[in-house]
Amino acid sequence: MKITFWGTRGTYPVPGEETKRYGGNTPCVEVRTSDNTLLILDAGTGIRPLGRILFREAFAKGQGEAFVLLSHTHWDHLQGFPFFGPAFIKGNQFHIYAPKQDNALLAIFRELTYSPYFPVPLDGMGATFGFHEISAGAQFQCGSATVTCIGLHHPWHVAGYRIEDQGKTLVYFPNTALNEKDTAGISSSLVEGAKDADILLFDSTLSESQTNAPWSGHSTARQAIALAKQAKVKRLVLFHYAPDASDSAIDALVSELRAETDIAFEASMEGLSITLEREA
Amino acid sequence: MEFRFWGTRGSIPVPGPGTLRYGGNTPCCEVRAKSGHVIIIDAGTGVINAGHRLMQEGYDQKPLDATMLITHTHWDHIQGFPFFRPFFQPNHRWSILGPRHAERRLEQLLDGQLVPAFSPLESLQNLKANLSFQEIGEGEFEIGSVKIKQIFVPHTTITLCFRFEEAGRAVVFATDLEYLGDEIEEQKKKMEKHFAGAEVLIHDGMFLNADYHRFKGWGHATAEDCLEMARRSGNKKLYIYHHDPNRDDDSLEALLAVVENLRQPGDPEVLLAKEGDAICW
Repeated sequence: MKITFWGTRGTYPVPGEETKRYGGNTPCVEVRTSDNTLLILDAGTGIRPLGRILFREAFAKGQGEAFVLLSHTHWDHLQGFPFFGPAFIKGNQFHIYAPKQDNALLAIFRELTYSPYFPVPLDGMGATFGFHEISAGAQFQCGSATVTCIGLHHPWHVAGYRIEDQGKTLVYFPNTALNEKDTAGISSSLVEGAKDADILLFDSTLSESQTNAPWSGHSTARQAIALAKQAKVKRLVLFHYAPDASDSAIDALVSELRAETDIAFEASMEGLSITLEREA
Repeated sequence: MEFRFWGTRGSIPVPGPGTLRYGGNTPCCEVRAKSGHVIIIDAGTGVINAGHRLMQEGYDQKPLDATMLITHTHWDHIQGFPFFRPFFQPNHRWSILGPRHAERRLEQLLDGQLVPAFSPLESLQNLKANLSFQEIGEGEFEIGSVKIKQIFVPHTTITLCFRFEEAGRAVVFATDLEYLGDEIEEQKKKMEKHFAGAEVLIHDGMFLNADYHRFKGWGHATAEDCLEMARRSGNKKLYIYHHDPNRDDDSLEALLAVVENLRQPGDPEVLLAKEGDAICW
């Protein structure tokens, strides 16, 4: 399994000098399974540059296929979709998954491409889209990977994904508090969901001073570490930075955390790739 | 008057090392009138930084009565709206003016990006400032010392183009328009009249003529159109605006070079609109 980061920023995209290393694009992670199936985790602005790279492959000829796993439909996880080039090529197929909510997923995509907002309607984009609304516990196959949906703790329906492929496990928890509002400790669903993961991508939106602020459905990097410890995660990757977290602030946070924990962790960075070799 | 670029990028924000010089934020400009009035034009992600400046100027405490003009409601022109800090100040009053879409009212279109499926804010009602909405057509009005004139322009949705005049000098902000179809000359004549005599013209120049055939009907003009229109309208300074997300800084300078090569004596000065730059009179 190979993981590549195209967008690491939460809330809204942040261009400029201060985000040029860790990245200013909103969430998008490319995952290639051992049989080269393409999974795209979230469709923030990072999906636009991913789309340009995909034109080197079958997607240019309308023979591409990918699974798009949306954690939820808040803007920062969806706003790149109308600018994802391969979605405009007839023949390409996208299987889009998102947590079940009051609004039908298809209706949300129609709103995203509604004429006062965007000039090309969903049905005019060209590619074929299949929409799958899932609930916590749902399990499905994406090529050689088995994906399990885990409910997260956020102000809207949010899915975390546990992706298992050839004995290796990636867990994607981009937007979540450690527990529901007014509830203490770390929820057992997060611990179970992240159990023994080789890699956990986790929400690091909040600064330490915001820990006790009104519950926002986000976490601090230290809370990410607490979960990683309890779930015996092999490698933690901090993800979904706040818009005001500058490159130097993230550097400083990483140094502080290195001094106080011995767990393996790193800060995600646009362009970074991580390869998990299958068990021999 | 001060006219400032807060976002110059079209379509979608483009962060990264390749856009540091001309900027990666989507459209937003600001006019500060001599009379002190604040006018924000469009609410792409550039508006977030415009909001931060107002906060730094003390408007996180002081009351403010200001105006936001929306050229049209495509995502890149409204996506910063939920993150504009002044909208969270209870002592701010903002008049928001934009075109009327046939299917959905301006207020509902702006509310549409705040619904629970899209945003934790859930509704415009949760913004603490006093917001009022007004749909406007072609016409003119005044805000303090600035006179504003607006006309509709040919784009893929109903879109306004604003002209700002103060003390005999004018700036025109012509983003998102395409000269298209059988009526190109009529369209150009109408725009020429609107641009006429303005010292500064800011004009959509997303594409080059050489590539235009691939993007015909997308609602955007070419850099060569910009020069032609500025020449016809007698503008002194031309800013090419609404930069293509697929062009990095070097590629934008290559686009500028194409236009520079077409310049003749007496033609306006041509620049690429740059995030953070301001025209001050």
